[in-house]
Amino acid sequence: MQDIVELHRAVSAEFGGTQAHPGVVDSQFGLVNAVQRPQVTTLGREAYPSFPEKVAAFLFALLTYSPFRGGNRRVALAALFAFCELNNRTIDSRMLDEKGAETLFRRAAAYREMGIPPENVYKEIRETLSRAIVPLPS
Amino acid sequence: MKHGDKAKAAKAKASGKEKSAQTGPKAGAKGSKAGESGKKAPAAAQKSSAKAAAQAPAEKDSAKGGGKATAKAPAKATSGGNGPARPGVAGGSGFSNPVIGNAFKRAIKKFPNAFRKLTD
Repeated sequence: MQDIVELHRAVSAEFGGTQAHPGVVDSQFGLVNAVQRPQVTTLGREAYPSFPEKVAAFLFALLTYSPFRGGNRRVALAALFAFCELNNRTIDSRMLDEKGAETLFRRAAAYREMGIPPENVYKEIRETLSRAIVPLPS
Repeated sequence: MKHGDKAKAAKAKASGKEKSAQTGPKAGAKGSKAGESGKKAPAAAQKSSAKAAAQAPAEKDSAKGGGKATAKAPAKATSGGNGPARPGVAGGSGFSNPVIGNAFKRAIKKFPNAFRKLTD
């Protein structure tokens, strides 16, 4: 959680405009929920067993709850890299380019307004990430 | 006045002196003056905080309350920048975990336009 707040602070410092509130958590519940989402178990089994599923669940929760006042999608994009690198993986930019990432994050953050079912958005993130996440080159 | 109030008042006085000693090099010298019962006043007041830090061990013995103030003086002298460094931050990039810092840098390097365009 501390890492996410630090990421938000860094993202706000780097790209934040006048509306930036660096490090200010608007929804503590949302942040805790997003951070703990990959560890969820149902009936004694992991709800998100594979790594891309865990990342997708985390990102989807982070984008849905929007725990910060501004810069939630930027934090989510930075957190995607951080999550992968903490687990010795990275994002292959040939599989997930800038335009694709932008569209994906926009859709995930505004699926209610767009009228997209949440399970479809989650599936979309999971499938994109399962192609894009590769082991970190040594 | 109850028993022990006198001791409390003396302690408060000593802590007030400590606070004034923490404000800067000149004030640090003042703190040392207080510790040494006011005999070395004019010479000590002109010297830098580094010198005050060097004098710290001698003062520690002489004054009971002055010990804390002199113990903090070297940290101020070594910090050198615009305030003391944050304890948990590595490398000055604002991240307590350097892996996260590297990941953030890599993310910016790979997706600069996405970061610019993704606005809430």
